[in-house]
Amino acid sequence: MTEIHQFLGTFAGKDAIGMHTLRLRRLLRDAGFTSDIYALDTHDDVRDVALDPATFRSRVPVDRDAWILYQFSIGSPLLDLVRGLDVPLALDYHNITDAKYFWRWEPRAAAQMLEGRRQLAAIAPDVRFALAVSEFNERELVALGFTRTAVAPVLIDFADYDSAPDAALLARRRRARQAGGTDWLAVGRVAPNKCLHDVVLAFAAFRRLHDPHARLTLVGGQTAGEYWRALHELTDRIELADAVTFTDVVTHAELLACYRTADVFVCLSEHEGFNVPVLEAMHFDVPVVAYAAAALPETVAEGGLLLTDKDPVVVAGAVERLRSDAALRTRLVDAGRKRVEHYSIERTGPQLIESLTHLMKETS
Amino acid sequence: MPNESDPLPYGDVRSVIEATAREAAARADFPAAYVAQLHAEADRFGLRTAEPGDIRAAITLLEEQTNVHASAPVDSRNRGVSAVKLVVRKAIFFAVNHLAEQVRSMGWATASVGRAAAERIEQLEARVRELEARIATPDHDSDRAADQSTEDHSTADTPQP
Repeated sequence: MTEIHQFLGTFAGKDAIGMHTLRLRRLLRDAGFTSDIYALDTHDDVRDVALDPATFRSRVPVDRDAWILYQFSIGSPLLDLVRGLDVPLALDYHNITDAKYFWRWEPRAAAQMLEGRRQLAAIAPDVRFALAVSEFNERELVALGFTRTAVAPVLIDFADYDSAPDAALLARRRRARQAGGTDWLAVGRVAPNKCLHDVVLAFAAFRRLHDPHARLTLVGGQTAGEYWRALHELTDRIELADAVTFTDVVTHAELLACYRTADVFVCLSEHEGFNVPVLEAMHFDVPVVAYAAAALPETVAEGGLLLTDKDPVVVAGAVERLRSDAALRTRLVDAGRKRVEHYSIERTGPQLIESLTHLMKETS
Repeated sequence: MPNESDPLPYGDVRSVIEATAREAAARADFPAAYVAQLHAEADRFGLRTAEPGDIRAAITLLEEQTNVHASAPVDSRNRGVSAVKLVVRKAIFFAVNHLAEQVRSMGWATASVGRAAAERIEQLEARVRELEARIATPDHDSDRAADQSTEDHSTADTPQP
């Protein structure tokens, strides 16, 4: 029986890559493969799921028909270990953030990103094939010399979002909404490439020009402490501290409460290999305004209003247009539902397994 | 940066939004000063992603980072912890502020070195560009001959020791 084992540097059950890895393991097992997850750095929530990479050879002897699928998103010493295992290797590429966004905020993270780019280029000749979660990512792989590639989106199970939201937070946010004012929502790690400062500035323009009672909720944990502090200082300087909420890391139920009480989802990120939150917003019928950069145009497509200019006044105008134009809002929400259907695991799951098995056969 | 090669949906809506923003900016009641402040803030953040070789951006960032202050955040989910932090901050302020002032002074001194170095580098770069342009021109040889003649002349004029 063929075995496909997944390896990843950092495994967290709550992030997009961690959830993708868990769902893929389930699909692989359902398809008849033996499949485990090996991770170097494992978060508490998945500690009982992940295996130690150092034990791989004792669990999978050389004579087995085994493959390794490496979930690639940042530089890690794990890749060097994997290359030494003498097992056919495939990549699932989630993209590496451009180090330029980090090196003046969090140089250590920037160094890991640079190392990741170096590792990615170096490993190209040793990889049998590579999957990319978006066409944007696939273009990067091809430019680096990967010859066999296919696009297989991040696995998202939208049924997970139908569970109950956090009742206390939902009630609190609904009470706040009774006073009026548009609720802006942005979801994702508080990282410099996500350009949350642009969201805050656009929100400031919106409050001054269109709706003085608007509120902004930024959902996500910090990945660059200095950037986090700079955002807080920014909201103080432009006198928005009372209107902007930084939630930090939230539970799944709290996240659902935020989506259920949002009027608009704004994403002005400049570097995304895919972006799950825009699809989550679409699932909750929250209209999306996004900056047309990196993989966002292909993920969002007709499901949101894509901007090529993120001047605060333009973004504020886009949100105002969505607020005042019910027909446009309906059009976007309807198109958003189609995007959600397009990316549903019922569709993407079998496609991924098919691509994987086809490429394995072709490169064996 | 935006993927402008791919056609994006809702181009008509986007055009109207951009035109409306331009019209709004031209109106008398437009909060120009506040929006200018927002643009200045955007520029401040933009410095962090400037090209590694952008020496002016590096100096501006250094100047910004030089503004260290001695007031550590006292936020906490626990109100009691926040109160304790506040008391500790007040108690040690005289010592922390003394250090902060020295760090600020050092930062400004470093920034002044950076500015001086940037001036010199930019002057040298301008001179190199000028010389490269002269070398690239077809009548460079005749220029060189003229320069040579001037040099000979000035040498002849210079009193020998």
